[in-house]
Amino acid sequence: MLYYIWLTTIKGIGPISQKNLLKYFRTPENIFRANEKEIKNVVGIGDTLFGFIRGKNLDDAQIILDKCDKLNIKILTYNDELYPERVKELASSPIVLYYRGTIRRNAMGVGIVGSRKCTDYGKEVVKEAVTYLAENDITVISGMAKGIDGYAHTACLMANGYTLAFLGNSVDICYPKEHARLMDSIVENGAVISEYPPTTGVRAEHFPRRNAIISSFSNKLLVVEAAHKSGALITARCAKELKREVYAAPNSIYSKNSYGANRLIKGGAKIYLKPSQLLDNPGKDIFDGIIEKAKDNNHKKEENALETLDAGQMIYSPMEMKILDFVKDNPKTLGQIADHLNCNEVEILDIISILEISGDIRTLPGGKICCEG
Amino acid sequence: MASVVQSFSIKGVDGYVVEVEIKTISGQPMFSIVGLGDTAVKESKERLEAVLSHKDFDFPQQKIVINLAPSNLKKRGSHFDLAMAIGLLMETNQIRPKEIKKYGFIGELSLNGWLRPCIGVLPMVMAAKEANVKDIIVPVGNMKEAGFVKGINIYGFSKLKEVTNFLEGKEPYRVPVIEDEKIKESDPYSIDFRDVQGQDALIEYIVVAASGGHNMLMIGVPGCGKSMIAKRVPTILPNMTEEEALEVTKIYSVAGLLKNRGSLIEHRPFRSPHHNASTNALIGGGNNAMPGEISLAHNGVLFLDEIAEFNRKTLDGLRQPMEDKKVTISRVNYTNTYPSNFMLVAAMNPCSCGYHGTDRCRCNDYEVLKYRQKVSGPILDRMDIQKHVQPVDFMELSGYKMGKTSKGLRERVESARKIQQKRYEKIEYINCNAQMTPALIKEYCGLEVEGERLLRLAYDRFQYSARTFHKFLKVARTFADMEVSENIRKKDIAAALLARDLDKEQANMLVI
Repeated sequence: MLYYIWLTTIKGIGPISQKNLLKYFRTPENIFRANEKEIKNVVGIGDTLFGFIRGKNLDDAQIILDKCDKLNIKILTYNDELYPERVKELASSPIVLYYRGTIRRNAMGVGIVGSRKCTDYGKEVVKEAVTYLAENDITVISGMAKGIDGYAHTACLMANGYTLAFLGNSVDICYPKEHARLMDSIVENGAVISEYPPTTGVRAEHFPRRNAIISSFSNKLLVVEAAHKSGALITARCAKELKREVYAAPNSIYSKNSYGANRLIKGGAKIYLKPSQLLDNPGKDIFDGIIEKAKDNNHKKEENALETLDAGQMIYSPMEMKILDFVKDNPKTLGQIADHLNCNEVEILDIISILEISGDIRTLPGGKICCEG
Repeated sequence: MASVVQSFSIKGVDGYVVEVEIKTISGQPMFSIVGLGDTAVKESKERLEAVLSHKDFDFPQQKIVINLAPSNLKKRGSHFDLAMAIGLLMETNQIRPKEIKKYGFIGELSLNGWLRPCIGVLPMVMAAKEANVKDIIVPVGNMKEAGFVKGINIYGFSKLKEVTNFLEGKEPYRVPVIEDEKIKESDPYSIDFRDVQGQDALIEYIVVAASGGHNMLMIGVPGCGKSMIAKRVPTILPNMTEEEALEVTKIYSVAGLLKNRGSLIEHRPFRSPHHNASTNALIGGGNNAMPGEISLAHNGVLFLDEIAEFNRKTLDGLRQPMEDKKVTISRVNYTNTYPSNFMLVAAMNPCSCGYHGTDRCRCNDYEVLKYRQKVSGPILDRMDIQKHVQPVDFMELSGYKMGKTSKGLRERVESARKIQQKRYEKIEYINCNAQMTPALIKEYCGLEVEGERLLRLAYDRFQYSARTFHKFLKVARTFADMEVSENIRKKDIAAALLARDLDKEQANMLVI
């Protein structure tokens, strides 16, 4: 373990050279003990790099290892059996990953990435997709950033799923700060993973590499709401290079926030329409999906109607019917409802309250009222 | 024998009698004032010397000692000037007043011998009444303020010479003509709930808050009318009783904030400190332990706009005064207790960008929550009602009917308050629904079966915490009182259940 870390601390030796060395020597300890001639046999190692390798002692690696012990951080090495084979398809896959939590066998899953500044639409898409994945026990992979990433982890944990978060800093630091509790939860029901040793802060150049790792861990990747030049697009590009399926959730063509996601579709990404597409063996044609979904919805509605009839309590008064009908398509404010019914807001307070409690309507953030479901 | 003249001093908002003792001793000319006076008291000596060197009097060239008894209490202010001057003139036999014992003196001297008005006169005169001092001599400028106290003779003078002539019986007292300045008082009815359009439901909750003494939080995007509504809350509170008005005037008198030559404050105060306010500004403090905003809002409304921007520690300082309805300020020099019985109305944006719930907001749930957590739980907990304020569509404004008038709303508040007063008549420290203890809630908030079922459903649906349970009951009780209903009906519970918009929103958030 110490020698693995040692190998990552050498300046000038990146993941590719590290792996070349490993291939030749099989273990990092052999590299440490090898003589000059042997090392120079490895492709790409010249005099300078050899100098770096020789000049590096184990001190820094020991410090890192001590920190890991102290902070309860575990280490996944390239030759560990938990290290997924498909991840190695990524040329720059790191030989050491630091993590907190548990990495399960075959940890690959579906990556979900998107804008930090997402809309309610994006939130809904993520929630539906992730809940479905969690129910099918598929790992949800994301980057624990604000917005889509954060929602993906949250929704997964709320559905009792397993989730992996890849960070652009070390795993003992929580960024963004408001995700502190989320991070603790992920550690409990999954893992937070980083290629950076403990006490490494957030830096802009860390993120593209983090994104590449996310794509390498993803069998499929779903991009929800990515703006122009978004980090999520880097992830998508990497995924494409690794020949992983990339799905993009379509959105309004006028939405700046989704410019990147819509462009992905134009560039050949698959259109995401329903969560079952993210399974390993999705249905036949995507258009079947749409029809199925419509059928599903109709079916559900009928079922609901039957249920409510059974319960025998949800017989709406004429007033309630009018309100439900009015908010059916678009959220309305209380004032608009009152206007529509030609009465005062105060008179319908109790009706609104009862409808809300029985789950027929819902108050949106900001106070508008919409139909539930 | 030293000459003794009575004056007064203030501790907190209450006055007490101070005996000003003056003694001249033969020796090197010098002047000292003892009795823990502040700089203003010490500087009296210069004023006295200047005034008494005036042609009418002589300043004695002797050793002069003035003692302010009780000498162990700290005193401040310039109002001892008059008492000291009278005492010094008596001591040096320049005047021979009759019955000096029955008079109390308040007033600052100008270098020309005029009497200047000073602060804190009302509590001092009230103390005089309690101490059975029947005749008070004050500067003309303070006559009106002193006149609020009934059953006591107030004599107003504008010059020291007039005072001495009166005391010696050389001149009868002539009631000075006070030029009643055309006081431009802010007309209480210049603002009215009539001006608020299209917010009927919110106003209903405001009325409930005012009726039951509930604290209220309004959440809304910038410019939706939160401040406009808050400013109008005092207009629907019942008029102050004379006793309440005196309490408020006393506090303002002590704080030196009485305007218009000290007229009685008849309208409930409305204080809206900026969110940059320090803990001392809000709670009270400073070198002299002066009252803060919460005491200045006593019997009125304290409006904290942008409550999330206040310093968290400052806000937490509100917790104890809100519970106890009074606050004790301890400083090195003074420890004072001020009343602080106010209705808290707060306003905030829904998130840091201000527009959560509209299309332009891009804050995620974690950020929204972080912003809201700037207001600590215990403070939010003291807000029985939290409502969203919807921006009114400007284009639709003209279509709305006029809002309800403050007068009509105030009548409803008054009637609901009457019911509560009757209910809590025999219970000490409780006079409105918001103050009910759990035991009282159990006694007075019986539910009908339907109402209970509804409450249970709401709990399952929104996962409210147990303590919100009592809040719903209290608010429902007020709803019932407003319609003079003995029992809490289903519709009262239903309406009360709409009073926790923030909690409900939180239940729908995608956060861990």
